[in-house]
This record gives sequence, structure tokens and C-alpha cells, in this order.
Amino acid sequence: MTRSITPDFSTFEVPMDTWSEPFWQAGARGETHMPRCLACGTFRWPAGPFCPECHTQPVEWVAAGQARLYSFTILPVRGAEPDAPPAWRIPALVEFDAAPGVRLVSVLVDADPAHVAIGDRVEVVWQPAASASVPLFRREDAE
Amino acid sequence: MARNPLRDRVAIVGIGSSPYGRDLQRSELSLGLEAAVNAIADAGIDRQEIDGICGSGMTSLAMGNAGFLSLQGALGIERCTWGKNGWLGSALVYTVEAVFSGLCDMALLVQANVRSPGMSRAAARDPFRARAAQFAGIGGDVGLGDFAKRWIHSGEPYAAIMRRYCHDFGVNKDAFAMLAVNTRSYGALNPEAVFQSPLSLEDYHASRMVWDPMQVADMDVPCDCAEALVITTAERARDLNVKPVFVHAMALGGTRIGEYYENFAGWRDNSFQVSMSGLWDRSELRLPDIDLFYPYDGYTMDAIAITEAAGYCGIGEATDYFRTSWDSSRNILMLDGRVPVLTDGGGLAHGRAGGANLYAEAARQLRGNLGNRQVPGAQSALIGIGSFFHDPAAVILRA
Ligand SMILES: [Zn+2]
Repeated sequence: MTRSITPDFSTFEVPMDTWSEPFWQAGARGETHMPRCLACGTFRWPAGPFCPECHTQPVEWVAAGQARLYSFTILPVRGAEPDAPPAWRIPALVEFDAAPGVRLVSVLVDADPAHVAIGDRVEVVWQPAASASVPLFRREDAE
Repeated sequence: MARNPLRDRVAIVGIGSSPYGRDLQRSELSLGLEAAVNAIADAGIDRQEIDGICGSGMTSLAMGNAGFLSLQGALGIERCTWGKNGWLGSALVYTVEAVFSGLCDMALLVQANVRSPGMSRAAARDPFRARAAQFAGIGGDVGLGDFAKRWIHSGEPYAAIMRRYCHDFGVNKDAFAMLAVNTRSYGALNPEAVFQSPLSLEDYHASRMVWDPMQVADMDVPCDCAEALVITTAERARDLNVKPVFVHAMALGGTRIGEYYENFAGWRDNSFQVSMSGLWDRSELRLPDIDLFYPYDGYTMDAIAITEAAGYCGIGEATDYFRTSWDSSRNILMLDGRVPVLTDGGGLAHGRAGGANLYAEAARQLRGNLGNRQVPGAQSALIGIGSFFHDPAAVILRA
């Protein structure tokens, strides 16, 4: 069975600023951290200078916990050759048990499109890009 | 009740269109000018009476294409005291604001569209639309370089939201199918529609899967087209030799998720809900007073969410509601047994006009004499145009 593709991020320059840089630093260690407001505990994503809930600035970065699929779509990827085998890309929205309210736009890689469902437990796969690694996900029970 | 000082004080007095076609080999400006010339002639005014122009585009001051400044120059309009670009639902709202506030008295609204490479494979191969390269990478048209917004095409979050809708409410795609079939039934009555052939519910389900679960029949049909409206004060409208269509109430709608599609916060916290509730806060009319309904159908998911936001049924209830509203002899929706939906064929059949087709069709219906698709006696229209996240408008027009 053909599995979903891993897009090529090798030339992708990851944009980052003061507020998002810790996310990428944790990613370089293979960890997924999310910013939580020091005053009210609200997670803030995308990372930014003010808490939308209380307008406080400082955050602490905490482990995001178990990741799950909030939703996804499956699209066929056409190969260069007309008779190339079918392939799919699966853009996905991922949620985290320990970072409520956060959703990450990503790609579900190495998945059988016929066996993917909302709520599936997924694990991060940090994929090298031009200036940092980017977080992709795979189903936990994928062999 | 919110304030609504503009109630019935501004009117649409001119309506003009260009042809709609899959590949007219024409520029946005050329299409926009044709619609504008037709709208000015329809209003029966001297073009030099126009003193405000709303052109086409997401960027309010951008020049080129069918932007307001390009239109003014090409139409030879001497003086404008107001100008801006707009798109989707907001363009009409901006134009009405300008007339009501007094920055201009006779405004021209032009919305032109051409197929873009990101919207169809045929266009991507077409050297006439030489922007294909920017969609080939992983940046894309939504969110630009921000990794957090890393969708390649707006169809992806919409497909993910559609999947979530079916999951959250435990429904299949029957409501989506009925909406799509409804528009194609009207397309068969509209000589300008890109799709003149009707679609069956079976055809819908058999249509090509694009972004699973979204099928090609869930997506508006990319085309080249333009619509134009002439908008003025109710006082000036009375002196013209046309039947005015009055703007009764309107609202935009923004939410705290801002432009971050992925932070979609659920079915109550989206732009459709905010714009529709803002509209009802500004009108004494209620759904039983509405004769025509135009929910934007860039994606079927939009139209279903707008139907629910308007209050025709509860959130997540469109499937059962559409089943009870289905006229199987004509393959159309008749909400509450009497309100037709997207009578021009919408974006799904008439063509991808960014909702400008819906404003034009509603105004034409309220004037009357629209031939075999005229809804007899229609006095009011409810229009919802925009996306879950940006540029939504809710508007009531009345005869
Ligand atoms: Zn806070």
C-alpha cells in the first residue's frame, strides 16, 4: 500500500522571531514545546508578544504532550510520469493534550490514507529544512 | 438592537455584467470595464456623475488590474472623492458606507475575476496566467511565509473543516450534495452560467475527489467574469428611471481567531456567525420576511455554515433541514417550503465571481422581470458572502 508522502522541506527557510524562536530551539532537541502565559496560563499559538486573554507578555515554554489529529485532508499527488503509482499528501491539524487550544498545521507522513481518523494519536517527526527542522507527524501505530 | 442609521437610505440603481467563461482570454480590467459600462448604461446616468469607485482586490489601495484607479482612468471619469478596492462580501459594504457617509454620491462597484493558476489546473498551464510557480512550493496563498499558517491552498483547511463538520455532527455529505445540485439546477436556467447542465445527487457523490472529503462538486467553478453595480442615495435613486433596490441592513464579521485558519474555534466562533448576528441586530426583519437567500458557495461548506448562521436551522442541523426543504421535482432547495437559494446558480454553476454574482442576482430578482428564473413577488433578499475567517458580509436588500 502506498503511504502518504513526506514533502521536501530542504529549501524551506523557517521564519522566526523573538517569540517563536524557542519553539524551533526545542525542535532542534526533538521536543515540541508550546508557550503558556505566565499570568493566566493560556496557551498562545501562533507565538506572539501579547496574551490574547489577559494581554500579559511573558510566557513559559512547556512540553505539549500527546498529539492527536484534529482534522486532515487527503489529496492525490500527481507524479511526473503519467503511469506513476498513486501518492497522497495529507495536510493535518494537530492538537496536544497538554496544550489545550493550540493547533499546529502540519503534514501526516508515512500513513495509509485508508486508515486515518480524527482523534488518532500521532507522534512528531522533526524533518530538516533549510534553517531549522519542521514538525511533521506520523500515526503512533504506523510500522 | 444595534444602531442602523443607513436603513433603506442607499440603493442599487445600476447592474451590469460581463460574460462568464472558462477562458475568455481577457484581462481583469477588460472584464471589469465591460461590466461597468453595462451598469452605467443600466442606471441611465452620465458617467461623470460617478464620484466614487470600489475596485477589485484584497488590497485596498493596490493599483493595476481592475483596481479603482485603473477603472477611473479607463472609464474617463473626471473626479472621484472616494476610492478603494474590496472583494468578497465586504466590497459592497464599503461602497454603501461611502455613499451613506457622504464621501461620494454615485458610486461604481466593480468586481472582476479571472481564473488564477492556484484555482485550476487548466489555468496553471495557461501562460496567460503566469503566476503558477508561486503555488508550486510550500508557501502558498494563505499565510505566506508563516509556518503556523502553512496551508498550500485554502481548500486544505476548508476540507479539514468539512471533515470535522461531518465528524462533530455525525452526518454524511447529503447536505453538501443537495446544495451543489440546487445550484446546478439553477445554472440550467441561467444563460450566463458556466455549467448549464444539471447535476444529480448521484453525480455529486461520483464527482472527482480533490481534497478528501471535499469533491470537485463542492468547489465553485473558476472562470473569467465581472459584475458591476451603481449605488447611490435613496433620494437620487427616486429621480432615476430604474426601480431601486434598497440596502436595508448590513454587517461585517470578525472573530478572535484572526487570520489563523487552524485556530478555528468551533462552529459558533466564526465570521459567518458574527456577521449574521450583527445583521439581525440591525434589522427589524426576520427570516419569515425574507424571500430569497444567497449563501456564498465558494465551497459548499461555506454555504452550509452561512445557512446555519442565518438561523434557518441550528448549527449542525443543515442535513435534516435540507432534506425537509428538498423539492425533488425540480431538484432545488425551498427553505421553509418557500425560499429559493442561489437562484443564479451561485459560484458552483454560474461561476466563481467572489460573491459579486450573488449581489447582482439578488438585485435583479428584486427588480423583477428576470425571465424563467424570476421568483414571483420577491421583495427581500438575505445575502451572506465571505469565508469562515475573513471578509464576510451579511446584507439584506429589499425592493
Ligand atoms: Zn494571559
